[in-house]
Amino acid sequence: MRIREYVWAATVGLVLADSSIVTLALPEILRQFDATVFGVSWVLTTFNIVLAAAVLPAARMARRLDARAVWAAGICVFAAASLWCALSESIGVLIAGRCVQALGGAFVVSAAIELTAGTRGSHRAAAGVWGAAGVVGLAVGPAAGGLLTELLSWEAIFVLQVPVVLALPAAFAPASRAVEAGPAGRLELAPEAALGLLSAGLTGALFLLVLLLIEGWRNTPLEAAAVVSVMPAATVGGALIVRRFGHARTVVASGAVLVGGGLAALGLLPDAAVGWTVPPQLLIGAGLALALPGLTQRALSARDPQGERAAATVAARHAGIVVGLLVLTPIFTAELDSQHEAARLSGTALLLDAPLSPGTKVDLAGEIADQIEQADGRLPELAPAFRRVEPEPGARRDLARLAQDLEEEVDKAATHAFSNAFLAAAALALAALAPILLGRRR
Amino acid sequence: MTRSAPDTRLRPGWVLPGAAIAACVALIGAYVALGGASYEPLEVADPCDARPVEQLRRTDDVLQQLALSALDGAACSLRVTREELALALADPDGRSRFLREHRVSDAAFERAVRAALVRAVDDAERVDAISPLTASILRPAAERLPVGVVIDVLERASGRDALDLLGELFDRAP
Repeated sequence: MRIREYVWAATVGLVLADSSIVTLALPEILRQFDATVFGVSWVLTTFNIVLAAAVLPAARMARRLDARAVWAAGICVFAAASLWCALSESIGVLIAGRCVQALGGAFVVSAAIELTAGTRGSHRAAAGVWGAAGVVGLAVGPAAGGLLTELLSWEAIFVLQVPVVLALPAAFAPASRAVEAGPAGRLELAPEAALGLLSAGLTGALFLLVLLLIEGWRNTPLEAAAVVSVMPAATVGGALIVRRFGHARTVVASGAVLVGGGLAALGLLPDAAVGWTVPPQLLIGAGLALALPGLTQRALSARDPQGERAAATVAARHAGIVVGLLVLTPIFTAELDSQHEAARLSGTALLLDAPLSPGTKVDLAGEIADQIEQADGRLPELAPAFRRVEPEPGARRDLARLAQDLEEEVDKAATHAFSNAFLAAAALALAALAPILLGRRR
Repeated sequence: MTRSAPDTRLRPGWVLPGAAIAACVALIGAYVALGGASYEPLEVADPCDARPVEQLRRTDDVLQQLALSALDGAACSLRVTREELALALADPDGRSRFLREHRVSDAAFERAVRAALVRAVDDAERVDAISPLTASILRPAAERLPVGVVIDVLERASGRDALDLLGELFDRAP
């Protein structure tokens, strides 16, 4: 593989990582712009909508015009929009910047597909390269974003994408050889539908899990990044299975089962500890490696011209992510409200029944109310409230026990708030089995 | 004529899907067995179900029992949970939000809380949790004083004796 092919693949990976890279930064953005969960989810949603909508027309342009010029233009727009996002001072401006960024990204991805096909001789030969780059980008995105948010700030995610313009010399490579025409064939709707459904389910793993770790269980973005990096690691392991078994229909179906099963397990976590999220992530990561490349191959195999068909698989994936965000976010936000109330009532019950004096309880209730007010609609930190209360003699152990019980109620509420959304994501991923198993045999 | 290289990849058959299904069933089954399906906040108790009344010695404990029993009684008659009512009584904003959400008039709210306070005093006296003297102080207070005043006095009653309480309740009478 030549250096310029690595550069094109890296830019595809970067653009597709952008569909999930801000996931870990969303809580930070939510706080800075005083936005709602639903509002901030549009930072992800709009990017995926624009990418899904623009990638096909961009692929047509890349085929008809000079793919190198289209790629270079895409890189410039993407870098400029990244700077725009980094300098945003309101959620609306940030969302607008993300739209422009996705537009530039669509040109980058489509043209990179054409360029790689040019050096490899066919779109089919190039599919493995950009397909793998896309999967790695999508899987690594959240962890990379979390790392940057924790070490620097959410703006750093976008600032560090601006130097992508340094890749521009790759556009001045000598013209590619003629690309072989792919075989003409019927549209492969089944693998496209499966890609969309699977991607919709994966939104649960990429978006909800991160929110659970940071907003629900109060981990730092860095800790969350470390936790969710299990998924890309498992994807690498899954790739070894694919190398052994290939892209047969049963392999792809196994991948969908693993993704669905892993998401369902995330909806049934027995405790609020990060360790419980590891086995489901292993299943999802492995499932991702088994299902996505195989489905992409199937979607491409009988198409001509394949550059546009390749772009159609990118569109299907990102349309799926949009569907996932639009379906899962309302479920999760409604559950969060009801669990917030459930935690308030169960916490009040624990406080009322605690073996403490009325004076201590009244003091504690006031401190907890202050913490809830400071949390501004999110799940409160209770430990500071307990530190500020001086219990009556001999009641210190009862107070510590109450603190532990209340923290557990908050954890239970946070975890349960995500359950139905994870189960809905599992249903979306398992629904992909229908087009996989009913699609045309070849 | 060139011969293509033989495909050395294994045929997955049903081994791979079988393994995938088994892994998922095992993980989900383990999580459910460990309580994953019921990992949610505690359900609050029905205030209409009787709670045990204990024989208590410390004034603080007696006052708490009275307050909790009264909360249960009032919540039962208003058809809400004890915890919702406690939160409503905790601050004026909470009370007006409670009245709005549960469509309860201010008068009905006062009546329910007052009746529950009187009943709690009666119950506590009947099982000897409070002395007849303390009951005779608290009962008229619960019947006549504004609910907010009684609750406020009870909240700050920690460590005080009956005569102290009586003095404050008379002072706060309108």
